[in-house]
This record gives sequence, C-alpha cells and structure tokens, in this order.
Amino acid sequence: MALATCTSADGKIITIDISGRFDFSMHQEFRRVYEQAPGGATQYIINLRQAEYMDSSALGMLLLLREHAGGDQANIKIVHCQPEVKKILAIANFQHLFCLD
Amino acid sequence: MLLAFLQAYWWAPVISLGALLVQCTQPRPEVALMLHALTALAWGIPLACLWGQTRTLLGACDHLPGPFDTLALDPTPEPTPTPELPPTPGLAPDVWECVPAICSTVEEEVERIAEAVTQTRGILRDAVAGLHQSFHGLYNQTQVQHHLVVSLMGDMTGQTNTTQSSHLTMQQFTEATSSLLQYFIDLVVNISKQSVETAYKIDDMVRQMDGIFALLANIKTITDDTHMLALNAAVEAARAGEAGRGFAVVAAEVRRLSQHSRQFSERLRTQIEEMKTTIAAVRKVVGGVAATDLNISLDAKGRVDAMLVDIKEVNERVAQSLQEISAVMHQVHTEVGVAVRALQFEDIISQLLHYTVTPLGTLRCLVAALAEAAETSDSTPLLALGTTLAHRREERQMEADKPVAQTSMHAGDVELF
Repeated sequence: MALATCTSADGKIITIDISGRFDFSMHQEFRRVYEQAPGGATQYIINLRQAEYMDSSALGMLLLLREHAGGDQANIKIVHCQPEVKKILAIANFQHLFCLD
Repeated sequence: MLLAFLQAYWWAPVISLGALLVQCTQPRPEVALMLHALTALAWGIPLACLWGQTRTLLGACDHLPGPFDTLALDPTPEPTPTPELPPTPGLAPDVWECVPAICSTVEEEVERIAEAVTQTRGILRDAVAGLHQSFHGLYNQTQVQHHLVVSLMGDMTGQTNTTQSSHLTMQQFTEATSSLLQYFIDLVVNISKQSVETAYKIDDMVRQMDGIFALLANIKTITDDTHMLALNAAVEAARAGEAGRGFAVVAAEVRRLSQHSRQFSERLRTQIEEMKTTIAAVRKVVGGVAATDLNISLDAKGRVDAMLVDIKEVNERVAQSLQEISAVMHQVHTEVGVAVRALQFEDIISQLLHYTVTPLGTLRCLVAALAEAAETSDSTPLLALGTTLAHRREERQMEADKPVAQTSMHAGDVELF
C-alpha cells in the first residue's frame, strides 16, 4: 500500500497514484496529500492502475476528497481502474459523482 | 291405364260371359265344370298381368302423402269408389295357391323391415344426441381450461389486474430485493465515509493533544527554572544572615510551590498519555467500522440482476405460450364446429329412413289386398287399389324434385351455439 503524488507545474492538477490495497490504513496519507497541497488545485486525478483492492473506506476517502474539492463543483477523475475495482465503483453509483475512465 | 287394360283383355269378360250363357242353356254337370274352369282361366290371366303391373307401380311409388304416413301401419286401404270391371280369366290353380303364402311372407318381411328402420332411427337419434352433448361438454371444458391457464399465467407474470394484489409476482419481488440491496450498499458507503471523517477528526484531536504536550513541556521548563531560582534565593538569603531570614522563608515557599507545579504537570502528562491511548483505541474501532468488504454485496447484487433478466425471459416465454394456447383454443373451437356440423347427418338419414314408411305401407296394402283377392277370388279391391296408386304415381311424376336433394354432407353451413 503506497501512495505517490505529483502536482502539475501550475499547481492546478494533482495526480495521486495508489498501489496495492486501497483501504483504511491509507487514510492519513491520503488526507495529507490534499490538505497539505498548496491551494488552487482545480482538478484531481486518482490513478488506480496499481490498486488491486478497494473497500468501503476507500470510497469514503474519495467522497471526503470530493467534499474538500468543492462538492458538486469538484473535478475528480478516477482512471485506469481494474475490472474488480470498476465493479465496486459501479455498485456504489460513483459514475454520477466522479468521472470514471 | 284402365282403357289399355280393357283393350288388351277384352276377350276375358267375353269368354266368361259366353261360358255363363252356355251353362244356363246346358245344365249338365260336366259342361258346368268345364265352364267354371274356363271362367277361372279367363279371369286368371288378366289378374296375373295386373299383378305384374302393380309390382312396377310399387317400384315407382315413392313418397306419397296420404293415409299411410304412419309407423303404426294400417293394412286396410282407404275406401275409394270401385270401378265396375268384368271378371277376368284366372292363373293356373297351383300358381294361384302360392299367392297367399307369398303374401304372408312378404308381409312378414315388410314388418321386419319396418322394425329395423324404427330401431335404426331410435339408435341413431340417441347416439347423435349423446355425441352432441359430449361435444358441447368437451368444448365447455376446454373453455374452462383456457381461462384457468390464462389467469394462472397472468398471476405469475403480474399482467392481469387481479384484486389479489397481496401476493407479489416474482418480478416485483426481485425488483424490490434489488432496490433494497442498493439501499444497503449506499448505507454502507455513507457509514464508511462518516467513519473516515471521524478518523480524520481523531487525527486532529491527537494533533491538538500533541500541542498540549508541548505546552506541558514549557510548564516543566518554567517549574524547573522556578525551582532553580528558589534555590538561588535561599542561598542568597543565607549569605545575607539575620537580615535575609524573611527572604529565606519566601524562597522556601516558592520552592514548595514549584514542586507542586511539577507534580501537577506530571499528572497532567499522565492523563493526556492515557487519553492518547484511549483515542488510539477509538481510531482502531472507527477503522473497523469504515472498512467493509463490498465484494459480498457485489456478488449478491450481480445475482439479483441476473435473476431479473431470467424473469424477463420467462415472462416473454409465458406470453408466447399464451398466444399459442389461444391459437389452439381457436382450433378446438373450429374442430368442434366441424364435428357438430357433421352430426347433422342424423337429420338427413332420419328423414331418409322416414321416407321408407310410405312405401312399406303401400306394400302392406297391396299384399293385403292381394291376399284378400286370392282368398275371396274377388279382385275388385285390388284393382281399385291399383288404380289409386296409378293416379298417385302420375301426380308424383308431375312434381319436379325429390324432397331430399342432398347427396353429400358438404352442402350448406350450420350456425352453432
């Protein structure tokens, strides 16, 4: 379970790469990323290519990120999902709240 | 016909008249005998011819309205005006002797025919009535069956507006299950979100407690410094001697206070450490709440969705089957109609059988009349009957068609039910 982050040059796009298990043990790191980022980020990209497992706490974390990023005005993309992860996102109806790839 | 008859056998009455005259003038027994024989012969021949003609009459006699149109056949003919005919020469005596026997045999056979016809009619009527009933019953039962099947399938698929809305169809049940499942999934996700939020708040709390620790460290520094100062003050007071005695007391007091302070901050630190331990435990619990494996829900939802698809397929198949059943019902209706129409043959055959009554009656009359003629040697009733029948035959030939014109069962259609 590892989390890597990088910010675009203008600081507007923050990319978070998650690998391994995306679960509760990651919650402090995840929060730190977007709380400690300098303000002005307009878009977040969550890369789940290396994420093999997701549970409900991960969904909670994503929802809290969305609240932090402005709720309905938030622009969050979840990309490169594996099939299992995609199913979980579908069952939680995340396609209405996030841009799913 | 009568004129033709007279023309052909004019000699018969002449001979018998002549014989009579001779008998009257010559009253001798052997002559009388010879003359009797001559008379008999003179009558017999025309009679035989008449017999042949009546047979042809019978062949042409079909349905004739008249007094013989009853099953209870009356052998006695209707009284008609008997034309005056002279006696005719007779048949050979042994032939003439056979006539009564023949007549009685014919009468017997006619009787048997009539009986058979009656029986046939009776059996036919009963059998066809039975068949009619049976077909009607069959049709009604298939109707009932059809309604049962339609209502059953309608109930199953929820396509009928039944008043028994208390029991759900499979489809409604599955849909309800699916939406319930979704509700619980959403609930779980929401709880997870709130738990993660709680975890974040706990982190904030822990951070604040760390702040308190920092402050406590400051207090410790202050109390240590205070303690040091108090020691220094005591030393200075001792150096000042008698004048510094009051100051020494103050210094001692300050030292005591600083010690209290140190103890308090120690206890504070311990408390806060305990708080930290408790909060760590709380975070663990919250973590347990937040983390739910959704794979089970995923499986369940997937299965329910598949079930819905299956149910839709079943409904489609049921609808199709219902259509096929309706078509079958239509077929049954048609076939029953065909069968009932076919049973109409009973009417026709009954009529046809009925038409044997008159000819049989006519036969009886003729036979009876012939028997009587043979018995009484008086042919006038027989000849009278023959004349009547000849008249009727002429009348009949003036009628154009036969009453029963149908030759096959396919003529005409029948309205049923």
